[in-house]
Amino acid sequence: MSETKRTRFVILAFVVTLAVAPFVASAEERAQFDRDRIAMIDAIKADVRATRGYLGRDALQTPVLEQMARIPRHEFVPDDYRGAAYENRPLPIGHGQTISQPYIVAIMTDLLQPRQGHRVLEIGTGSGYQAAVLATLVDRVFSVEIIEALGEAARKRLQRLEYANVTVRVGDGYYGWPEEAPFDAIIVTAAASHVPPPLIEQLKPGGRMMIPVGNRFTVQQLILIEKNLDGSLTSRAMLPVRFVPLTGGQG
Amino acid sequence: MDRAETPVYAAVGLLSATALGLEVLLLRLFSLAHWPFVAHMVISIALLGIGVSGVVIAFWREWLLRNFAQVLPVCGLLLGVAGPVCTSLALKLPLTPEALVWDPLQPALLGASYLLLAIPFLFAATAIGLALIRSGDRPGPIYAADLFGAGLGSVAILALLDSVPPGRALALVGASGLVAGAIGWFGLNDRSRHGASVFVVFAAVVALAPEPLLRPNPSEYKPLTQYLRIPGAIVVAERTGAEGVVTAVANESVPLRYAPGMSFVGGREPPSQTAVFLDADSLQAVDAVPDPASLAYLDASAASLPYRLRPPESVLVVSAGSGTEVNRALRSGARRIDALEPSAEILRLIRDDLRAPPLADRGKSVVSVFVTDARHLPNANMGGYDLVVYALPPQTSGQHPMTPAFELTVEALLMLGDRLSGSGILAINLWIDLPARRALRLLSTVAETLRRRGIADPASHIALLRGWQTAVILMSKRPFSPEQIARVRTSMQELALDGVHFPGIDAAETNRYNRLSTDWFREGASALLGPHPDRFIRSYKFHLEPITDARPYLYHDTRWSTLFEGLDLRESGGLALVPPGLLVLVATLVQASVLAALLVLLPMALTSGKTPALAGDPPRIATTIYFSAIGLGFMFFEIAAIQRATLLIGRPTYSAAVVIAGFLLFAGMGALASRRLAQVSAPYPLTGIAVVIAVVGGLIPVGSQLALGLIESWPLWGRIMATLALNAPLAFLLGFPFPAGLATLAVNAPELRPWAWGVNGCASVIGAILAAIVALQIGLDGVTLLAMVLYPVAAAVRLDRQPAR
Repeated sequence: MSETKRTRFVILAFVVTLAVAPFVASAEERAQFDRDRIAMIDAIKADVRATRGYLGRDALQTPVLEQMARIPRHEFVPDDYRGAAYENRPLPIGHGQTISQPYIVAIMTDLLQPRQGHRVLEIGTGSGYQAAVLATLVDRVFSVEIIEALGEAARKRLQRLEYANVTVRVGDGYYGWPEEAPFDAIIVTAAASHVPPPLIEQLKPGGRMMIPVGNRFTVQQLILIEKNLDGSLTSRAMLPVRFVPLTGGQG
Repeated sequence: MDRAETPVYAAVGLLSATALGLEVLLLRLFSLAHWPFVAHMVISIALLGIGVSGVVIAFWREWLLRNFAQVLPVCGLLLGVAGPVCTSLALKLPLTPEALVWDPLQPALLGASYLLLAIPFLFAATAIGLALIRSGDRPGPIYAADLFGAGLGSVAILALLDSVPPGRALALVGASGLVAGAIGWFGLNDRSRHGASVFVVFAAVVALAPEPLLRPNPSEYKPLTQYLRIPGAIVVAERTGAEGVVTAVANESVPLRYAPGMSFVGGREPPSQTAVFLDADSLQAVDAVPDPASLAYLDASAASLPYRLRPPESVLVVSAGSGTEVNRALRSGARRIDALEPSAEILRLIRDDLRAPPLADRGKSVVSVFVTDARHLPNANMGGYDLVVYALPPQTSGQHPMTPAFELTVEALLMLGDRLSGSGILAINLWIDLPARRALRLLSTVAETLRRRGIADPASHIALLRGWQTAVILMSKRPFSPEQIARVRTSMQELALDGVHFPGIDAAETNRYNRLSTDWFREGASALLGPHPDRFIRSYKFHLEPITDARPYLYHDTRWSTLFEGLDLRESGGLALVPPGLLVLVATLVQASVLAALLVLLPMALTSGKTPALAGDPPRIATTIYFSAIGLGFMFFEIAAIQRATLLIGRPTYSAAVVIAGFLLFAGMGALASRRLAQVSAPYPLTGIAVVIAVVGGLIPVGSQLALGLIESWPLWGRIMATLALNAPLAFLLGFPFPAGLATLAVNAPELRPWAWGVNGCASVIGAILAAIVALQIGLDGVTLLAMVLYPVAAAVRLDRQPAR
């Protein structure tokens, strides 16, 4: 091979490598995300078994984990955090908001007992991940986000990822979504000092409302409000962590 | 005193004032930008700068002393510039303490903040340390100037914070460092006005720097920042003061609807409200309505229970805040309502800026508002209340475990119980937390109060009911009557409340509406009101001991074992068990120890060529023990005094500033007296002084309790003066050991003085945080006891017996 040909060959190889590299890297990244996602689901299963004392069950009763195993969580976090997308931890998404720890998303979703045919209202869209998880389990999800930038980004993201049964609206969630009421389930992830009376009205008899209480990084307790068939209300407070017994450890 | 040295004394005093002003200011700035538990590391940061200055002096002592005429002014210049610049940079770091467990970047950011903020203190301490060494065996005047300056600086910063926004205060503090440099240049360089004028120009530039450049921006996770992201939210008023920045935010398009604890049964939408934040946190709502009759939402929470038992004629509202509880009392028809609120800024903002009506006379009711807290009633004759009620505190995500809750201790409840009418009720509104801890701890405190009152069966005087989010504890002066119990039962049904305890409670009345898998509240209440509460308290995973003036740490409820358990379970929801304040305290202690060891002790150990290694060097060992013991001892006494001052004075920032100032001021006087004592007494009576320190220090806890009974109704300035007087004898004595030790070294081992300075600084860095952790563990009296022991330990070393080197 002449010197000229050798030079041309090297240049060609370099150009081809440059052109192909992103696809190879992208495929490798996708494969890594798939592996991470499986590991995340395994971790959640183990944690749920450990928390059965509080959740009252050995495993989640709905196919939430099967669905979470398909949802590309890395698409819902900022680029800087894509590498940590499948770690079992909350992540910042900007605007002072976070995407919840996957374990918490799983048990909150399960406690809502979502089923096909259900209509679900979410107050506080955030990144849209919770809406995406719900969308795979129910007929329709209506989500309200008060911060415009977050709401618009979530709407575009969910459209791009083809979650066609999610509708995102930017606005005040206090009055719910009366045009689409009643709902089988409502989840209020926005900070709430009380349960807005309009949301209680928009909950179907037999429906469930979930309110995680805590700060942006930590869910201190989960409040589940159940509307009985006669319209009466009861709430259950749960600590989302294995922590028994409370006495006897100190002597 | 050498008159030619007067400018040096003035410069040292002003440098010291600048450093202490900056220290108090940082407490405020960190509370505003982050949370109070981050602010706690500030004292330790300042002391790290001092420790590192010992290293700098040890390495370059000769050169620095030779060029002292330039070094001192330049240190002033660097302090003046680094103060505002480093502080602004540190406050811009994306520090998120809640993410410490997850995010490996966070410990690094915490460490970076620590180092950045230590820089200005390094410059101040280097100049002061050199001035001390330069004074040879007569360190008294310089030491006195240093301590007088520090005392005055921390008082001046209070006046500044009450007058200007925090950003401007930071600029002015920086400018004062530059003025110190100007004075130093003028005095040390042949009265050169040209050189000094350059410093003055710099000072003017810093003082006039645009305030927004230096203003701390609250963290993006603070409630105010988040609230301002809502479309339509606008800041309508702001008040700044030494105790915090109060901000009012209105929103016409998405109005605030704040009704914490409102039952989901029979709840109503609150009317238009204005949000009020303290230090960008602690959201409260001001109901901007002309008529309390429209505030029906107030009747739909557990807080309405005491009014339902019997409409009170007279009510004392404790920690009234934005006035919600006053409105509730007004709705009940109370004729006389006295409201206590410690924040003058909140009251001024509501009255003058928002012109909101709640805290005003209305119709037949007379409302009187007092700027004070529950431990300092403005009038010793206040009393005869049918109801004393603690308003629901604002929710904060950043409660410091070291924040003392003196308003809720057994002693406080005893005092307020005395203000009740014969059939009066004391009510405490609180947030529910899981696992049950704060509600049970307050129940334990109420029960202990009644026992101390001589009531054999506290259970018949107590009711505790919980909703889905809040609870209320009632302590009745008389046993609850059957009629009252009947009203409790009716209210439970109307408000979907669960009984935790009331006389005659039935199991079917518990855990009905707000269900828990295990009703920890009921189980805990039964045990705490049963025959063996101590056994249950010892076995519980959270602290349930009654809170007292000696151990007032209501917000420190997590045992160490529980903290570690929470950390182990962090991936399965365990973060709920990890209080960020406690985590930051531990992280800060670790970082402070590592940084102090790396930046102070290690460089000293590595300079064996210049100074001998520690091992096999008795003078160095003795110096290390002596100066670390008095460093730790000083901080232990000081931190305990700051905490007690919060009880005596009532305002946290004032208390911190007054104690820091008082300790340094009187210790400065002690330093002067120390020099005179050395002249008339040989050998120096260090052992005697240590014993006297231990005795006087030991009297402080008793003295504080006695003083409180005497001064609780005094005006603020009177309480400040009394607190100063209480601490003065001890602080005066604490001024003796440090200059006495330095003077002894000047004779016996002069090359060990920088080491002594550094070790003392290092011990103080750790001591400031260690004292907090020890106080949480064994209480304020325990911290005082340890300090009492440390001084005799130091005296036992006998620096004066070292062989001359």
